[in-house]
Amino acid sequence: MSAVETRNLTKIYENRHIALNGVNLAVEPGSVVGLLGPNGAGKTTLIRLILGLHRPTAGWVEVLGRTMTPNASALRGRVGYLPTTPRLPPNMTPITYLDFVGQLFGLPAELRRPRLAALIRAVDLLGASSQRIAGLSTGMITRLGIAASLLNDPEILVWDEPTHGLDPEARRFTIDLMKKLARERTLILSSHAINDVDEVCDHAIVLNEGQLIFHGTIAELKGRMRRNHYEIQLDGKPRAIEALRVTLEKLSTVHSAKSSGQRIELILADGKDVAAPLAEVMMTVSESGLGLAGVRSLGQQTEEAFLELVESDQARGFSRATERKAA
Amino acid sequence: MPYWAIFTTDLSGLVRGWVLRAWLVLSGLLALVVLLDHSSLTPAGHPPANGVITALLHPVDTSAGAAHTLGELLKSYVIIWTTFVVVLTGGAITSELPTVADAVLSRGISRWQYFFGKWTARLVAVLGVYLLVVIPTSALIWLNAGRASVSGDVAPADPTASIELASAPAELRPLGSLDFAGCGFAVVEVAALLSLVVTCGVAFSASFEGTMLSIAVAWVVVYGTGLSLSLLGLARVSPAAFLDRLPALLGGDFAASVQCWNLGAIIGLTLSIAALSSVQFARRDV
Repeated sequence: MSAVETRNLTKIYENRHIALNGVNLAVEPGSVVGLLGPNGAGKTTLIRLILGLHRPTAGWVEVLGRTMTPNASALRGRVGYLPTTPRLPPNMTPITYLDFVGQLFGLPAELRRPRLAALIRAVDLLGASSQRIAGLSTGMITRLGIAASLLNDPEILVWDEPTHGLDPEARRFTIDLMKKLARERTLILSSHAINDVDEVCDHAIVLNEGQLIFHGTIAELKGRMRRNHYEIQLDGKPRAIEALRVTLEKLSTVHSAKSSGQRIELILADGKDVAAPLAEVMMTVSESGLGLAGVRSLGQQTEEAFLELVESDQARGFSRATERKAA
Repeated sequence: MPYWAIFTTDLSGLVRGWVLRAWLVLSGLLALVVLLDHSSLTPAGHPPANGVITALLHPVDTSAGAAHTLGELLKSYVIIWTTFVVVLTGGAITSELPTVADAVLSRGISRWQYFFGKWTARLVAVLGVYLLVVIPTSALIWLNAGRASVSGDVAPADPTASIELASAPAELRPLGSLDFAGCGFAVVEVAALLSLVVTCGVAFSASFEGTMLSIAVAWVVVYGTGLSLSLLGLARVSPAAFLDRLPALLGGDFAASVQCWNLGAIIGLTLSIAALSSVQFARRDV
């Protein structure tokens, strides 16, 4: 049984906007999934369909083996949701809000009260626990949202942009918390911060223009990238760096070379082995007399892989539909 | 428990809010005016005053009997205070739309529970204010009517006078005296009409995106229904016809079966609107 499974999931708003188009995916229990995609890709729509806040135009969503609907309260009681910059009742205090959420989950008072107190302490809101939510900062509201998403001790956590608008300290706190939580439950994390996904997740789902364009492990996502994309950082005069770039571009093992300030970005010629071409590049650098400050593989970066995936999907454009039809 | 959480949170929010408090104060003041008016009336047999507006402009109208006075008070809930009820209920769900998905409906609660929690909280608030004002006022009018009858021509001079008078056949009672069962029916039927208005308000609130739009549509529908029924030649079943019959009903001139049927029809309509609206809300994206 999958933690979350969708089949042919489609959402069209008011017959005008196709937000999601035939998405098929399965999230295995215990996996930590990063939901990636540019703005308007359909990430939030997918999350709202998973939570039963929206109804699919076609297809279905199953959570823990049962169909999710707006009235599936017991099923939603097994999911913890953190929205992007949560909009919470402004007149409540963190304590009254968490107590209210606990009641919505049907938690008895003897379980609810100690748990909410522990969560308020854990998210460091003890000092603000009697303040009205309207007076809390974005970071505090996000932390309150985190506490609310954990109140029912959920099997699945769905967090939408949890680090959005947070200062570096709060962001680090959230990432560390996600890593800790990911050890014991299924986590679906939607984020624009690909570094966060790279740090926390083991699987990725990539959406673009409402379509699922990738679903697999982070390693597979990185593996889709060219492995022959490198950047060398140099120490020397610009004219000497430009001369080196010209020399490198003439090498048969180098496909292209672009210079930018103190760096040269190289794409090696296609081939299974990159060690020999790289050795030849290093020898050329050494002969140029320039200092080598560093070498970085761009091909292994999740962000690069994601961007390439989205770009290639957009470039394919129309053929996508015909492929789908043929399949 | 989720239903109860919505019910108690909404009701406590209403009790703390100014709309309900203002309505309680204003309707209490109007009841006081009606009561002062009635306390200075002549015993019996005078023609009734001209209606709510007249009563407001000329609060001390000594020509009104007890049935007419109580009728005026009950009419005010259907004619004047309906606007407050629409305002109280038209924003029940729309006013929470910006936060409802993030803070409430994404948790372990169904749409039914949320809708019925909101609906019943508004019902309790509205009927609470109504009964809080109407029951003591009715009791005072009843007692005053008893005293007036005692000092009048037809009533016996003992403390049970008003009860004996009320239990007498309608044709033997003086114009303007009160009948206990008739009062009961009238108070319950007005409560049922208010429940219908509450249900319409919450139903529109569950259907529209904006509070102002929801209130405006609910107001037009609630007030427009009576006019539409009159235009369609169905004035007999309109709220206006019910209000015209109120003094007779309060005086005991009624058939219980007809009143039960009226009550059943209003409650049936109310429950049908609530059920349809909750289904529609459950199908809506939030």
